[in-house]
Formats: sequence, structure tokens, C-alpha cells
Amino acid sequence: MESENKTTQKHEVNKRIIKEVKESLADAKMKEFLEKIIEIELNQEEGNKYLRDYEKLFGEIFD
Amino acid sequence: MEYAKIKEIEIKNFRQFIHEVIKLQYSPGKNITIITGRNGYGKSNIFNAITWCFFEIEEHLSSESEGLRKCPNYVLYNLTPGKTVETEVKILIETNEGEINISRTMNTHKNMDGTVREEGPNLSIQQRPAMKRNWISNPYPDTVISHIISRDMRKFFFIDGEQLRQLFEETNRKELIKKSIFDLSQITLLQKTIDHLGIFKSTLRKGVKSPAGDDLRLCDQAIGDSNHYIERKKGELQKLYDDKSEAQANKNKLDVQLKDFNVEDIKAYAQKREDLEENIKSIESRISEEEDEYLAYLFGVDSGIIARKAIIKTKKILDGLESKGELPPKIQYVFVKELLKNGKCICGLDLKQAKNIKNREKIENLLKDVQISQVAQKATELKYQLGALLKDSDEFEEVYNKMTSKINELNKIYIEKQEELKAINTKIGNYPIEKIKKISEMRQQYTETILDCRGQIAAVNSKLKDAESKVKGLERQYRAFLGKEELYKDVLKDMNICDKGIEVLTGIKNKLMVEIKKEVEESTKKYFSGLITEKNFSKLYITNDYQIRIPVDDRNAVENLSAAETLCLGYSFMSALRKGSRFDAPIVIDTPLAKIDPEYRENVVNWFKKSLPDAQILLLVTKAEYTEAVASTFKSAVNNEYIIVYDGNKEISEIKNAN
Repeated sequence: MESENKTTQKHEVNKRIIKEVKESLADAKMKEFLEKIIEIELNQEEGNKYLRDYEKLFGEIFD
Repeated sequence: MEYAKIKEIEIKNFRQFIHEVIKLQYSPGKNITIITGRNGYGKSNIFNAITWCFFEIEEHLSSESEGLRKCPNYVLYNLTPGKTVETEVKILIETNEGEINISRTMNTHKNMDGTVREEGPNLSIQQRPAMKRNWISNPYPDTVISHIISRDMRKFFFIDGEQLRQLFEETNRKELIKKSIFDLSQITLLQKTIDHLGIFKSTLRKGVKSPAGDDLRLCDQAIGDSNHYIERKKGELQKLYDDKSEAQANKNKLDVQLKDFNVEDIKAYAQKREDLEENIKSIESRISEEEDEYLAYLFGVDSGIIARKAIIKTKKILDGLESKGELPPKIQYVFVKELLKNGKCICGLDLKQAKNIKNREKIENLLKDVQISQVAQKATELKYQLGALLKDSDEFEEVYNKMTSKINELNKIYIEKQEELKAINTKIGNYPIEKIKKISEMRQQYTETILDCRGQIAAVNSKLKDAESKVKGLERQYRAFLGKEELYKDVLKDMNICDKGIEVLTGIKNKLMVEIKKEVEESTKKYFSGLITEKNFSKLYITNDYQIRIPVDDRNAVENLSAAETLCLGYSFMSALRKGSRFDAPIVIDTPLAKIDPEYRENVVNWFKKSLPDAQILLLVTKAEYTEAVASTFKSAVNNEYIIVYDGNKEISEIKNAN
């Protein structure tokens, strides 16, 4: 359900942000990291859950 | 999500509706739904039902409904004690990704003693993805709603036509335009991501424990303190910006009040009026004095004046008698008598001597001849008295002329001054001079506040710049210390990633802010010029602090717009936001044309049709707004039309299909 949410709730302007991210960076890992944290924020309710998600992302992408 | 269209609104036990279902069909160019109802029939409560369902807010609650329960009185009255009734507003939305059913409910329970208890509200969302059969409950209902329409932007999509001017005043004050553009461009999302990266970096730093050394700990503490100082200064700065913005908004409001007055001219006229009134009072008093003097004089000479004609006539008669010798001049008698008394004739003869006795007797006889009768004597005396009176009377004419001409002259001046006063009163007669003076003074105070805030903002900004530069230095130092510790090399790497992320996202944020502001500005200008064709508003722009400005003669014409023009500006801005978002959210407007003059309504209707052909629009209109001419202009774009029918006995409304 959650992943379904993430794919269905992309806003048109988010596409523009993602496009900007892609164009601003050459570093593929950094690009992936930023795209994913934006997606995390987009589907984030209020709270500190993002800290755990960020930490997980660092592990997945950079380690 | 690329679009969202409302398919159905179901209202149960909400305000004066018991159970109503409004179906909204939509196709491009046939995109408008009209609901007509008289004032008080429940139009605004349909609007409220929608905003309550989305945001738990009743945006347009009338003063009569405030404090009342959502459940209709009629239902509550008939509810058996111990039973519960559910209020629900359910909105079914169709999107490119499937259907969404938003439901907000609350329960009203009637206790056994007749008292009432409310519970809720609760929000739930069911989604049915495209091509799927099953409805799935979404655990993040607020997030789903924020993707259809965000809370901050709702006022530009769910519009209360009558309050739009107020909204725009509020917009300027609370920087709602800025927030809307931020939201629209997802700057809020970007900013949130940047902030969260910063917080994540802080948690990384907190993970570095004391074994890393005192230098590191002290440096970390200094960074923490400096950041704390920066946050405090940012708070101060925000307050100063708010104060400045509020003072500016208040000053603008006063400017609107003063816009029809040339304050300096009015002050000069007011002073002149004061002087004139003083002058007129003094002239009145002088006229009064002169008239008193004149009257006193008149009373003094009144007999001579009143009998002047008779006196002249009498004197004329006496003069005639005298010239005929019938009225001997008194002098003849006196002269002869005097000769006898002195005993000497005019020839020098001594009349006392005996030898001249005959001469004396002759003169004595002459005296007898000239001795006048009692009447003649009186007439002679009268003649002299009349002469004196006539002399006074002759002087009177001169004095009279002098006095009356003075009074006349004063009266003439008095009339001139009165005319002058009348002219000034015509110019400024209706101006509330005292109020204008007061407003001018208040305006001056706000101007001083703005200047003061500007000065303080510059000072705080300078301090902030210094502190931020200090933090950068400390950060470099901290990284240098951290780099020396093998244990924390990974932490350093992650911190550098955070920094890079913050830098990239900040760059994107700044770029998008500029681009989207420009887009919204261009679209607002285009839409507004399309709506208001009689005036040139082509210079419209959005300032760096997100105020809409239209410079006309060194003034911001936005502050001087009529209610109808403000409404049109609101529609233009809403349309620009909608266009800029590239997202198709439904638009609901309560009383969209009430503030528009009847002769311009068709123009606005045509603009709606031309500018928003792809937007789903729900209009809640009064009969007075929705005239035959308006209905006929809307006709080709109207897909559904409903009418609200009210039952005054039950205080219940029903929504009927108008066709």
C-alpha cells in the first residue's frame, strides 16, 4: 500500500523538482539520494520518522 | 496526480440538510455546476460542507449558525433520547490515478435527560486505483487531501466571493500569496527537505561522543550556541518583517481612505474656513455695533425726522408771512425796545432829555406798531425753533447716509465672506476634516514604524550574517577536528553529503521560486487584463516580498481597487496559481458575482468560460446574481443545475435538480 501511495502521489511540480535535481547533479548516488528524500518528504505525515528513513537511505546508497 | 474532479457530494445531517446528494458531471467546456438558492436557504452551508469535509473548517459560517450543532435541529428534536445520529459529508473524487472517497463524520448523541453530546469528527479516505475493483483505506488521509488541494491554497480554490477583498487584505498581511506560491512550487516541500537534512546533520554530530576530544566538544558546543543565537535572531527578524508588513498594510488602508483627498489642500481649506468663520463673526459683531449706534442716533433725532416734511412746510408758511411783513421780524421789536432802554436813538439823539420827549414818544409809538401779538410772537419763536430743527434734520441726512453706507458696506463684505465660505464648504463641506487630520497623523506613525523596522531589520541582518559566517568557520574547524579521528570518518562523510544536498536543494529552491513567481505574475496580469478591460493594469507585478502591485501615478492601484476589481484580481490570481501548479483542482465559489456590477457580470461569466474551460467549477449563486442574462451567458458551459428548496416550518433545505 505504501509503495502504491508513493507512486500515485507524485505531483506535477514534484516532477519539475526531480528534473531540476537530475540536471543539477552529475553524481548518480547523490541524485538518487535527493530524489528519494524528496519522495520521503512528500509522503511524510508530521513527526520524526524521516530521521530513520534518512539513516536507512544513507546505508542503502552510500555505504 | 494530474487532475481531481468532484463526482459527488453527499451531505447527511449537516446544518439544514438531512440527506442530499449532488452529482457533478464534467467535460471540458461543459464544466460548470450551478446551485441557486435564496439567502438563508443553505448555499453557504453547501460551501461549508465541502470545506469541512476537506479541512474540518466551515469557511463561511453565518453568525446565526455559529455555536449551533452541525446536526439539524429538526433531526435532533425528533431524535429518541439515548440514540445517536451521524453527520457525514462525503466527497467522491475522480483523479487520473483512480477514485478517492473522502468522508468526514461526527456523531451527535441525545442523552436520556435531553442534553446533547457531540463526538468526532473523524476523517477517513478510501481509494480505488484506476482499473482496480476494490476500495482501500488510506492511513494518511491528510496527506491525500494535501495532494488534492493544500490547506494553505484552499482559499484560492474554495472562494467566498463576498469576502475576497478581505482575503486579499489578509493575503497582503499574512503573506498568503508567498505561502501559496511556495506551496504551489513545492518550495515548502523543498524547504522541509533542506531543514530535515540540517536536523539529520545535527543528529550525526550528536552521535560524536567525548572520546573525540575536548576541542571537538567545545567546537560543537560553540556551533550549537551560535545556531541557537541565529534561530533567535531569525525569530526577531520575522517579527520585524511581520511588524513592518502590518504597518505597511495599515498605512495602505489609510491611504485608501485618504485617496480621494488632497490632504494638504484640505488642510489649507480647513484653515481658510476657520479664518473666514472668525472673520464673519467679527463682521457680524461690527454690523451689530454700527446698527446699535445708528438706532440710538435715530431715536435721538426721531421727532425732527418724522415731522421733517411738516416742519419744512410750516417754516415755508412762516417765511412767507415774514416776507409779506405779516410776521415782523423779532429783531425790529427788539431793536426799537433796545433803543428806548438805552435812551439813545440811532441818530445819536439823547432820548432821556426832556427836550427830546417828542422824539421819544414817536419811537414809543413805533414800538407799539412793531409790538407783535402773542400768536405772532409764538409764530416767530416757532420759526426759529423750526430752523434749528431743520438744521439737525439736514445734518441727519448726512449722518444717516454716512452711517447707513457704513452698515451697507459691512453687509456687502459680510455677504462676500459668506459666499467665500459657501464655496469652501462646497469644496470640503462633506470631508470629515478632523477624521482626515487624525488619519494623516496615524499614517505618519505607521510610516515611522516602517522606517524603524527597516533600520532594525538591517541591523539584525548584519548580526545574522556575522553569526552565520562564524558558524561556517566553526564548522570548518569541527570538520578538521573530526577528520583527525578515524572513528568519525564515516560521520564526516555523511555530514558532507548533507551539506552537498542542502546546497543543491537550496539552489533548486531559489531557481524555482524565481521561475514560478514570474509565471504566476505573468498569468495573473494576463487574466486580470482580460477581466478588467477598461483600465490599464498591464504593469501588474509581484514584488520580492510577494505583494501584488500595480503602479499607477506613484501609488499601488491594488489598494484602490473597487470590490468588483478586487474580486477579479482574486479570480486572476487563483487562475494563475492553478495554471502554475499544472494541477487541476476543483473550484468552488460562493456568491461569485455578488460584488460585480450587473453590467459587468456577463463579461466575468465569459471570462470564466474562456479562461477556465478545463476547470471543474461549482458556483453557489443567489437568484439576484443568476439573472436571466447571466444564466443565458453561462448556459453553454453549464453541465448541472440545482436549486435549493427551503421548508420554513422544519427549517430544512432540499437540493433539487433544476432541469
